[in-house]
Amino acid sequence: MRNGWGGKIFPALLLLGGLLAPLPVLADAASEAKAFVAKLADRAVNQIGRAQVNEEERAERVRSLMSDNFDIPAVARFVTGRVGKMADEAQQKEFQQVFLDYQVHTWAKRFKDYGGQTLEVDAALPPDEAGVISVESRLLDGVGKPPILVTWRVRSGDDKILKTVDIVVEGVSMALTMQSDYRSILQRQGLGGLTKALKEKVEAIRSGKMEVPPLKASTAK
Amino acid sequence: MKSKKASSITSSAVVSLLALTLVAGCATPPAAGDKEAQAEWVQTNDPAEPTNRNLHAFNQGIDDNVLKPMAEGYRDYVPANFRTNIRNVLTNLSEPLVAANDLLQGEFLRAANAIGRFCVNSTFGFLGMGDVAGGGGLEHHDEDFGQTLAVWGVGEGPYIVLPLLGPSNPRDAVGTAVDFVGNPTNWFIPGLPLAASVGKGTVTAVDKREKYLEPLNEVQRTSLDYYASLRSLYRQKRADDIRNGKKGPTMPAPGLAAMDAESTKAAH
Repeated sequence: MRNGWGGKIFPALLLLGGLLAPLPVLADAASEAKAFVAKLADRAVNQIGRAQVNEEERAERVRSLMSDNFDIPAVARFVTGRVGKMADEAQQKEFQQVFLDYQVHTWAKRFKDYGGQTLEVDAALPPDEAGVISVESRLLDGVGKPPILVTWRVRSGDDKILKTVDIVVEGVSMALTMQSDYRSILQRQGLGGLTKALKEKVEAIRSGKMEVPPLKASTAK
Repeated sequence: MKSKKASSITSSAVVSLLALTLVAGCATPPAAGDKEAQAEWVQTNDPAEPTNRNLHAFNQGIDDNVLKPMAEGYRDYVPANFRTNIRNVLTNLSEPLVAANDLLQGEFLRAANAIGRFCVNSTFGFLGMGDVAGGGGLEHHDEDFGQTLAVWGVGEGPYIVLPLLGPSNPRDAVGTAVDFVGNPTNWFIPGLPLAASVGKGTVTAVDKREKYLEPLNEVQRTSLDYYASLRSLYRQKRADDIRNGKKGPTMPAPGLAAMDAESTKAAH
């Protein structure tokens, strides 16, 4: 009798446990992703936006923020698509480097006249089939102006460390837009041509020839 | 004499536009064997790319020489509160059309919002110059017949660039035409419909261009291929507008992880 009950209850408990177990795991992943984005935004505001440092130091801080929080190799592979995949490893590495430089110098300039914006993290959606978690947030820019909706697409790699793979601003994905922007030069001049063109952009930003306006709510809308 | 000159300018513009369109033709699709190139071709969805690029260049010429300088002048010489009043009037005139499209999409609460805004702002807002309803929490939203068609299940079709109007697709082009004909504020003044429409159209275009001065400058400056960036931005923004900003299953997934796994496999 006792055996009979135990024999039924025990597997039932196991089954129940098996059903319930993934739920806390999913919830954990979502809250972990939310905390990750909040921490990233906090670091950007306090260590870069509000910090009174010279241009070089600001760029260095943006670089370390990006290296720590963005999966640059994955984004670089995505935006260069099949042409990038066919290029040799040295070329891919060089592109990644220049691509990161480009992001670093663009964002260092954007943060130069930081206007006091803050990011409020709202909700995180459960991971999609590719393991990417979408964290929704709002960029607030003082009073009166409507907030800008920013979705952070994050996932953890083999090392279990969360990294950002895309930022979606008001429904516009940065990764998709860059992929589209780079496609024709990749088709015509290969990965080398794209690397060269981006290098020129980096130089133009550094020398001040290419103006990058500061981060403002109205410019992103 | 004057009109003759004007008409010759118009006709030469039309001729050059036609020439641009005809010379280019269509892009060549990739070979059937190349799966990745095929996928890229489908994703780009721009079979008339050479023609579209020419039309984009034509529009760009008009933007650089006419529309953008007008928008900059408008910003420099018209005080900000006047510009806000003008934008409010234009927004208010669009509310009946927004409400109609909301109804056609079965979005009754949003339709009520648009009708409420129109009533409040047309009266308490002094013919729409002030956004009293917005201050009271009734925020404006956009809606158009292209979006209605999308909600009804009509696909966007290939990307096209319309002369003067810019990025579009067959669905949105039909939407634009239906909205224009169906907008009561376009046939409001029976005596001078053409002058009124042209006037309102010009003000609308300048107001809209002024609103997008910075973002478009930024896109133009930072992109390597302005045409392709605009194409991508247009598509993504439309998809977001159709979903009314809600996240949906159609959210473009960059598939970074999938791509990553593939390239890791290839490396090993």
